[in-house]
Amino acid sequence: MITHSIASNEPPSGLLGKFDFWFSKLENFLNGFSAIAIFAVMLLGVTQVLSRKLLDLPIYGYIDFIEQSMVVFAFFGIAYCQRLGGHVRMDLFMARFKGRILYFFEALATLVGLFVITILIKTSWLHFERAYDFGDSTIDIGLPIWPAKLIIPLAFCILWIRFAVQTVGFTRMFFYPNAPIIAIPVIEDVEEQARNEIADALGEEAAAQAQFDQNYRKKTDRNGENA
Amino acid sequence: MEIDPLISGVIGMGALMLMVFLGVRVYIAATLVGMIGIVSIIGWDAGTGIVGTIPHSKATLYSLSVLPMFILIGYLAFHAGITAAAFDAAKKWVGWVPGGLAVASVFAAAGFAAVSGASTATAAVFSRVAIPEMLNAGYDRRLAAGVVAAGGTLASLIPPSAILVIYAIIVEQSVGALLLAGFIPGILSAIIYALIIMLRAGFNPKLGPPVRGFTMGDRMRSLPGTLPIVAVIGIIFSAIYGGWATPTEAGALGAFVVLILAFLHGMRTKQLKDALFETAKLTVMIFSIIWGVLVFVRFLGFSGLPEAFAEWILSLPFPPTMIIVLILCGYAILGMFMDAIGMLLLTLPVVYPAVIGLGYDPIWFGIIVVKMVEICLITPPIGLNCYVVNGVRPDIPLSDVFRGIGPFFIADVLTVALFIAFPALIVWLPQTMLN
Repeated sequence: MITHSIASNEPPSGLLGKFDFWFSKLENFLNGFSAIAIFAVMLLGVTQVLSRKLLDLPIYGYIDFIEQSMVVFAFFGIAYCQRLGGHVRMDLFMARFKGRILYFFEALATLVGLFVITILIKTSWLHFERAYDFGDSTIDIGLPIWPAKLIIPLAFCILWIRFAVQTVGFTRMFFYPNAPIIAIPVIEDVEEQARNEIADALGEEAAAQAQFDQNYRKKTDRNGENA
Repeated sequence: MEIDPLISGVIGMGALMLMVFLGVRVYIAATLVGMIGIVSIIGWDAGTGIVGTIPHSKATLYSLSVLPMFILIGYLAFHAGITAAAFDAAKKWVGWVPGGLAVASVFAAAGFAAVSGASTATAAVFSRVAIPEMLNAGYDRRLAAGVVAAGGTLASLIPPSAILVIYAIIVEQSVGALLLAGFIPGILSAIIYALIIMLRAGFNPKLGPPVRGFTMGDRMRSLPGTLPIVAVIGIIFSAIYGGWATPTEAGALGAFVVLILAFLHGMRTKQLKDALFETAKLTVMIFSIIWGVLVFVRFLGFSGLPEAFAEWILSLPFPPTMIIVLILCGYAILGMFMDAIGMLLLTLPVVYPAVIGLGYDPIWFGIIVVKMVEICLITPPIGLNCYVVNGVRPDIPLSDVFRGIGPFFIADVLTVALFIAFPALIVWLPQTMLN
């Protein structure tokens, strides 16, 4: 589990930091769209059940609307999630590295992401183009499908920029391992993860007050080294 | 140079594991390997063409739209005031048994975990709600900490459960059947936890004395506080059983009910916004890994690896039970290092056909695997739930939390053995209810 490093409300002074700061705003905005779409799906679902059961009046084209809106919450927040290190990965080995080696592998991992997303932008764009040219529409009420398909390459473009920012960020740290951390997520150890869980469940104050048993950690760390 | 598709499948599996170990995000690693694999078998244009269609076609399946609903219920549940009320009700109803407060913690945590779907967060909340009361009543602190850390693990079986939905989608089984199937195993796990506590406290009353003195009136008055739990589980259960709503609609209704209760309990707009943002983040994470892994699955389909692996497993000279136990041990080890969703999605495409080939029921296997994943949350070396308990209660050393977990770990192993010996415990309910 990892988290994004920027916590302040002020944009940092360097170019990378500034760009990261303002680009984060765009990602937040898009994730906000996802949040609204989820809320809308909830309201639509409740209306559908009540209207169908009580008034015998199901919403016309309900499933089509839901399926078309799904691309919003399936893709709009993808760069936001990448920035915050929310996408699943295995930290086991990475967490054992420090300094240059860590940043080397991190930079490599983001480069792989950049490569994959570059191809996906092109291929998902072609998928959109086909739908647009052929005028594909949904089965039930004939909504055009191309807007939903267009969202995917667009969301991937935002993700591409996020990967590019992270690649620059990790490469910078590779060359200057002691520089202040900008525009990259940092790995959390199990204590930080636990602290985040506490924050989610009990609020920031409880998380700040949380203390962990250092004796046990030191003991296991030492054992780990011996092993 | 032509590479045999089967060999490319094996290489692909190895490459995927290597990349995941080196810290590449699972959705990226799976897409890359899947893409290279498909291209190597059917060529660049056709291969990348197929890959380009998968994110849209797989992420807009109606059955997946239930996921954000279940996740939203979870984030809102923290604001609906369920925990204290659930613990209070459980205490009044079952406090009189040996180790009564610990037993109450199990049932209250199971109820809250079921609704919130969040194992570690449940451990955090009950560290604050239940541990102080247990310690005040003179309970053994290892028992108090252990029961809270273990109680959270009941999250994934009792509906609503996002992880069971993900399993259903990946292996193409009925979402409703999986959700129903989790119910009895979830309740049974809680009962076995409770039995272990009662047995231990019965032999050694110092561990946890019973709490008595509640009248029937007290008990009845404590029930309305548990309404949100009953409502959410009841809505989803009855919707699937009665067929009056799809899982998504039932999830939407459940989320709406919890939303209203959270507002009544004093939730502010800011907290709603945070809950929605977190829901959106977790949703996109799950969707990304689903389409990424499905690119990889498409490649595996071309390669024929799953069938070959299944044939190999079937040719082994061991009884199926032994093979399934070995597979489960593999999950236990993998679960120590990896997030539950990532682990399931990476392994199921290959493991699942083999398990089905052995003659096991798809629904049964889903429940067993999810139970294994949950056990990993309380076992060292990581055991995140234990850290959470220690973080909220620094006065209870981590070593005590891990020791306190011991009996519950044994209970979990026994539960899994019970499910292996009596598969009907899992498959009876969905088979009976959904014919």
